[in-house]
Amino acid sequence: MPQDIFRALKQVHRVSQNTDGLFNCWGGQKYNKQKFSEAIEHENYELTAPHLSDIIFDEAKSTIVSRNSNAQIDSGGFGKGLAINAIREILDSYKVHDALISFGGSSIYAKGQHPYGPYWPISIPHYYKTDSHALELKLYTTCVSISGHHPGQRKVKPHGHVFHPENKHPVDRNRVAIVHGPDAVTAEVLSTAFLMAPSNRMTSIAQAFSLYAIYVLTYDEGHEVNLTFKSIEHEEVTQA
Amino acid sequence: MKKLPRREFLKIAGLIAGSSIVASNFLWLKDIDAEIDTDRDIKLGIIGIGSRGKLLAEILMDIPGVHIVALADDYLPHLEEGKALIGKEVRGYSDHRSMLDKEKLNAVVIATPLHEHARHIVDAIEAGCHVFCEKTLALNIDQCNAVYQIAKGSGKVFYGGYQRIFDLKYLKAFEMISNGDIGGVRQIRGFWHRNDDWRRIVPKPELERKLNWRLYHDYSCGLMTELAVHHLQVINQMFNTRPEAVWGVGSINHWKDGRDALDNVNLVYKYPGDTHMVYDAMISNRHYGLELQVLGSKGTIELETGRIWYEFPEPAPGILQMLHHLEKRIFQSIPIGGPSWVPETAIKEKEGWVLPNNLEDDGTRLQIESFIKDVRKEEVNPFLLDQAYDAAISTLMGFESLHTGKVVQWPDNAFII
Repeated sequence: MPQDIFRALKQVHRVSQNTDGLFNCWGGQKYNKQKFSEAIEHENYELTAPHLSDIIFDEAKSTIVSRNSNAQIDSGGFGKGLAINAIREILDSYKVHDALISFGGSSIYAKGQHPYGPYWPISIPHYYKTDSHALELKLYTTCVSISGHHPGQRKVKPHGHVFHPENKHPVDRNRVAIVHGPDAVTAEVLSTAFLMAPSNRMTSIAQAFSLYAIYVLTYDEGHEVNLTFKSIEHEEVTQA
Repeated sequence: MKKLPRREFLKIAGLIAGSSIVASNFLWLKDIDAEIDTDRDIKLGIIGIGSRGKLLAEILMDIPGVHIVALADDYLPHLEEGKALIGKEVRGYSDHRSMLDKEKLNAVVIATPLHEHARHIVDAIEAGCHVFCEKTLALNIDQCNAVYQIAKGSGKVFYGGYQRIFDLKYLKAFEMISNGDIGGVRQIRGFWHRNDDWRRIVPKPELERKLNWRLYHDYSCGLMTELAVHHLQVINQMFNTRPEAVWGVGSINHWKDGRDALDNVNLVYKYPGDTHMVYDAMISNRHYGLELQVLGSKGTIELETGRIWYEFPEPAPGILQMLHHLEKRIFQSIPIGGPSWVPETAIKEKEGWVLPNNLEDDGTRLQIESFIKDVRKEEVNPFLLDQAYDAAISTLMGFESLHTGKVVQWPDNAFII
């Protein structure tokens, strides 16, 4: 396969391995059947997606081999990050110093600073209070990825769109994971992983990504939002 | 601007007029989307074939089964122009009575100076004709009362020339206002501004008052009966009401050429429920043009252009908010971050249109067609006469206040319909 695709997938795979198995983009064939199914029966949750160890990268041949025939790449959890990294190269080549790139608000890259301030300020809206926000971030040549389930989707989607690679069930819909750091692909993979990470494993996973600020927001039944995990105390993160 | 095909236009008209709120308040619109029935020819005469008369004639000539067989105008150049427009077969009369006596007309369209309206309407109805008369109903309250009483009991179709109650923008706006889209309406602002002397070219000095009748009080009430009446009629109709009182100030402060008619007027009408209508008209500045603004607690509608603004719009998408901030040099956080795969339901600009703005039609054509449909069916809608009467009285109240400087209540000698 082309070198740039190979390198990108290898990066995704490497980051995935550091998520304690919580991010797996190789189960697309099975996953897609579930993702868009209107009515899911419980037994259909038993997916047989490849394990990360089933995927073998051959540097010399620039090929990827799977030991599991169900392997199919689902780029939904990292594709926008790849696009942002490609855009960053273009912006750098044209010596654009200040810019903000947003893919639907869920993958954002801010380069340089706001025209009227020292950084790019963004906020994560509160789902249930339109005049309020749940979190504020300062971006300065950094990336943010947000994963979660908007409550409005419950009207049109039978279940959440992310499946847990360990228990094969759709992930609960009351959580939002936000990752702020230097690389867009890594931020995307981590935000998906933290959407399903058990609370007792969050700290250990976050330790492998010390350059990233990871936040987990949880909505309770009263529609109040709580910051249930924060990986670093200070807001500043390392620039790209 | 692209004009919609007629069938498509009528379809939209039918949808708007068919909504329950519009249909129950604008009863005369029930067949608005029906094609013209041609099973019965209509013999029609026009009294007054000046500029407005000719415009109405052109519309009438397009309607199948309508035959303009006679014209009456006591100003010969207009009569000749009218005959040239319509064709050789049309008969011309310098006296409307002769026309009514000699022609067996089904209907008459009147587009004469205001002081002639009462006489022309009464004569036409007594000659057995259905009547369409341009605004305003008549020159004073006594004339309005006389016309109203005769027309009311005649069994004849009567239409006043208030095309805005057939204008789709207005109808859609009425539906939105009735639905509470802009909240409670507490103030209405109307204005009509031009910048010209309002004169017509007079070939001989003795024709000054005849041709420039709008400038003299024996013939017209000036800006009130020629302009303001349109907006007063709309507000009365939309809110199913009539003003309780009005106070106004007026002057001739620009065109000081011997005219009676004020060239600069400002009025405040008080409606039931303490809703106010602020109105002004002038003919020495046209910057703001013509508009009727309905101000609600949740939004504003401008009826002439069919635009709407909301007081509390949904927040714009984050990126749009950021662009607004940049334009205003604001450094502020934008609510951009959201989970993936949420559909981006774009939020419209704060300003919107009550209808697609390619529906350019001021209602005149629909109104004339509606008149012909009713004439064919001999279906009398009394509300149209009632409205024409109320609009005229509202206008004359303002005229009186402008000239006396006093607050004028709904007149004791006017009917309360």
